[in-house]
Amino acid sequence: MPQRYDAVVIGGGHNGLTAAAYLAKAGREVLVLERRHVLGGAAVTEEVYPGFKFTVCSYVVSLLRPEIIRDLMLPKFGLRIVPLEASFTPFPDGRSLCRWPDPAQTREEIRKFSKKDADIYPEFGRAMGKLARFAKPIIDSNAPDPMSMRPKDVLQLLGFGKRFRELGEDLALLQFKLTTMSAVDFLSEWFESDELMSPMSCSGIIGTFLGVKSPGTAYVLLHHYMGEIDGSSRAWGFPVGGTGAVSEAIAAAARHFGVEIRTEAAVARVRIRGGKADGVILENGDEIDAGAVVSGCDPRLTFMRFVGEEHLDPDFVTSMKRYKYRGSSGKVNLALDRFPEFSSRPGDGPHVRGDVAICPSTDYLETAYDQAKYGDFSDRPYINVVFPSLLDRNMAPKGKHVMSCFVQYAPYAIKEGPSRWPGRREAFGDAVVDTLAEYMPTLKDDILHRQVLTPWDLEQEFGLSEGNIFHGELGLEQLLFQRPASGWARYATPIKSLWLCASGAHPGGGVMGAPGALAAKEMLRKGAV
Amino acid sequence: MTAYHAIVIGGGHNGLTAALTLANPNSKVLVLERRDVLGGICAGEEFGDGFRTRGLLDETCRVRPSVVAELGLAKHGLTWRERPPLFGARRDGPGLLLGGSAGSSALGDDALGHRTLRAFIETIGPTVRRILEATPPDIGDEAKILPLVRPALDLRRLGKRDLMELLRVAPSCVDDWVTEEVAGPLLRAMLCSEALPGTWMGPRSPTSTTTLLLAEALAGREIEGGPAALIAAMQAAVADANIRVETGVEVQRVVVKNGSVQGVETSDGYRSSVRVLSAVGPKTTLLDLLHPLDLPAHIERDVSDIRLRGTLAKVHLGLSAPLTVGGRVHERLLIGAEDPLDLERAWDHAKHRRLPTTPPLHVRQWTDGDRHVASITLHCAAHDLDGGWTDDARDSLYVAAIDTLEATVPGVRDSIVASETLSPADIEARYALPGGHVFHGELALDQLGPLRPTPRLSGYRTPIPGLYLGSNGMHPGLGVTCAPGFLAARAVSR
Repeated sequence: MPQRYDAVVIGGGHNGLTAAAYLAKAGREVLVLERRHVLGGAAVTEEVYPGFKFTVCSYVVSLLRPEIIRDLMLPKFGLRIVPLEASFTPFPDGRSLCRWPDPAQTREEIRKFSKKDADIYPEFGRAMGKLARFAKPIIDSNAPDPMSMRPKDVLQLLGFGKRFRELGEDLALLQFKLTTMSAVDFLSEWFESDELMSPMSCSGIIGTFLGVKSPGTAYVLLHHYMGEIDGSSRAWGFPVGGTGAVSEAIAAAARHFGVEIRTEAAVARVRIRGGKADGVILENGDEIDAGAVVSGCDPRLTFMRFVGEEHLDPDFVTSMKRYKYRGSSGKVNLALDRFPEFSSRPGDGPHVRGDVAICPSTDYLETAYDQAKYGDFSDRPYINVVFPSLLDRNMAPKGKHVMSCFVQYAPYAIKEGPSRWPGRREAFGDAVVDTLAEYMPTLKDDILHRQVLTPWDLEQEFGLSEGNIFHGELGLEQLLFQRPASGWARYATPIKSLWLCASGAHPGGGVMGAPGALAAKEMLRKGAV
Repeated sequence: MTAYHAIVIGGGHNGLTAALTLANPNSKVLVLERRDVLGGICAGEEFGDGFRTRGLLDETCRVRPSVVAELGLAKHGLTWRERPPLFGARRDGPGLLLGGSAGSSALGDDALGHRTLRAFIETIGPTVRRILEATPPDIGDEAKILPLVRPALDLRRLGKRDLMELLRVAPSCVDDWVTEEVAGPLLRAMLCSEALPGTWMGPRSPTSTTTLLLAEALAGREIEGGPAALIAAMQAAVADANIRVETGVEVQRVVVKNGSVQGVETSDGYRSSVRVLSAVGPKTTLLDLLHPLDLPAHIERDVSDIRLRGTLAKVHLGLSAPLTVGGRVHERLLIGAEDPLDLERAWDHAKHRRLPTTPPLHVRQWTDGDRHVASITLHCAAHDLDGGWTDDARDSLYVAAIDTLEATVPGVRDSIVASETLSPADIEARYALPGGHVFHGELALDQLGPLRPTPRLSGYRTPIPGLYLGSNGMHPGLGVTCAPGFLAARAVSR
């Protein structure tokens, strides 16, 4: 154990581990400190009930950067991702829609609802593919800085401008619409069937406190098409072993490059001397010296708890207080005695070996959001279900199953007050199970164990402020050069030698690892470590 | 047959602005109005027994003083006055007076925060006004870089701090922005309420701060006598100019020959001109008034995507005495919106195509002689109401509005001597406004500036030589400004 590390990383989530691995790969001495007893942060697999492994929080990988997989040799360290085979949406009236990797098969499914939509679906895909190709470099490079006059930044901006123009008038307009319109409005320009638009629009609201009819929600539709350019047929995949396996693989790579990792090592403060971060103080009082401190926690934890307002400029404190979290989702994990079939499409065939979306109509989704606006959880929520045990037999005992349910909306600030969530937790779990039972009649009899995580639990247990799974709302005003604050979007912070490397920095949330990798590269480029 | 210098379709405020701008002594300009009266949504209308409105929309504070000056309307009787302050009423307890000469002393703890918000609006105001009063730059494939440089530099001149603040707040929801500075729910509701007209949004919708900033940047003094007085002045000016006006004549088709405009077919024949400026909405003009073969397919697709979901309804009341709250008579009132969430709930009703139960009411009232009129605007009535706008639905809307009013102004019910309710469907029928949308196009980020109504049409020109667009559906499109009619006429002259 060295006397002084080149860098100490707070938090052993997938981004913290990624940053650590990149720094170590460049020859730096790095220590990762994780508060919990397991690594992974919100990308964690835990055997909560004997034999049943839950992907406790995040449950799929979206856009895990291929560069990271390559650079850190993650397959060598055990990473295996199975593409999700389908997106299945059951409707209460017994109909259902399944979107498959094979476009022809998907068109057949859509044709049941609208011939016109089936015909235009491929054209929509082509247009989105082109936009995805345009947008992809944005998540793979530092956020552009519109105010900078440095030649490099101006060139980067001009580059974006040039490529934007090269899209041509029609696609450029489409890109603008995608950035500003609501998911439903945007899709309505292409499609007529609500049964198709409803599941498509869902991807725009995941993790945000917005509805499918709120402006700005169309953008995330693009993420589904970015995966295709990454070389896989689908943007979403399930890691064998659960999302914890992603963290485990990155941790193994990090150790391979020489990173030291400690669990149950909770950080209390970032030590600041002479305006510079030079180490951390643990909750047990130990002090660790480091040339740089890298925070894998969200901006609020980083600045308000570990640093403290007294070390910060009042303007910066104001912008940190204005940075919005507003967790809107919860998680219900079920251990099941047997596979609970959907009445609209029985069996455990390929249609349920992807994700299942409970979103019968856009009005249903919007109503679910409306309830949350006034401080209630949705009594009929949007639920995104994955059956990890169908994708990886080792997730549950033989013949048994685990079911991961991402649930929205569960507002952090319920009207009784966030701290009253524990008293509402089981009612929330009941609402989820009741909703699901409308589509899976045997479900209630099949449940052996139930784990319910409210936004309050996500905050208390996983350190996600206000339960926001993305370390801050993915709203237009909190993206790119404004994430987490304008002037501080490039991983550096107002505290010298303190860096951000997680989802509260560009390009934001999801198990993609991009902030961790970009932060490490920026630190190395700046000679900060 | 006489060939006119130009034909203007629609005798609303933009049509008349365009005609006056185009007027010249040498050849006549023709204005064709479908209704028997001029003025469109600005026309004063009779209701009950001898009561008159001052127009469908009440606000004239965004009419561009530069256009009024250019047209010399002061000579024809137009006078400006201070916009009266807005009174935000509470069911229980004193209300709040905001704006005009009201000062901010009554705002208590929120006075400083309110000044901060106002200061930001004042800071960006001149830049925003310059942009809104000019033809938007072409941003299409053929765009030249030079016209883009000016607005870009203009924005840069705001300075880094204010520009970054603008970029931060513009995409946000208006409730979030005002809540950063002020705490009082009523004050927040009053500020938010200004962001919503013409949008399909509530105060919790992202990007609603943009419409607030634009609307506030344009707001200034208003016209004495409201929209009807603006029209009266314009009519007087028209009478003095080389302009012919025909009312009761509906244009049925813009006639295009060899790719360019030749004239218009009307309900009673044909009028000839190689210049036609349409002051009816771009969607109506291009999709209904043109032969489908005259319009390029890609333009048709762009135009059919223009969103026009109206949420506006009106209740006009003739009263035996003015509305009195707390012993005082206020000209502008906001009733039934004591918290931004009241506005949001009302918006939820519109969004879900339901009748609002307790609709927030924007009220203007005045007295003509001995007649007291209250003009009430609701921004929460879905044009595509579930079940349609039947007589019963219209009655329910009226009852809901009066219940809301009565809760704050007890006894008002007994003072009502005449009333008229206009549902979005009524507004659509009376003014020929698709979707009942009085702005001819929702205010939304992708339907503003160089994107209004679509990128290829934002320069007031169309792909058909001789056909111009000059309605509120064009830039800047923030209500009654007269700017689109003026800028479109300028495009004709160039």
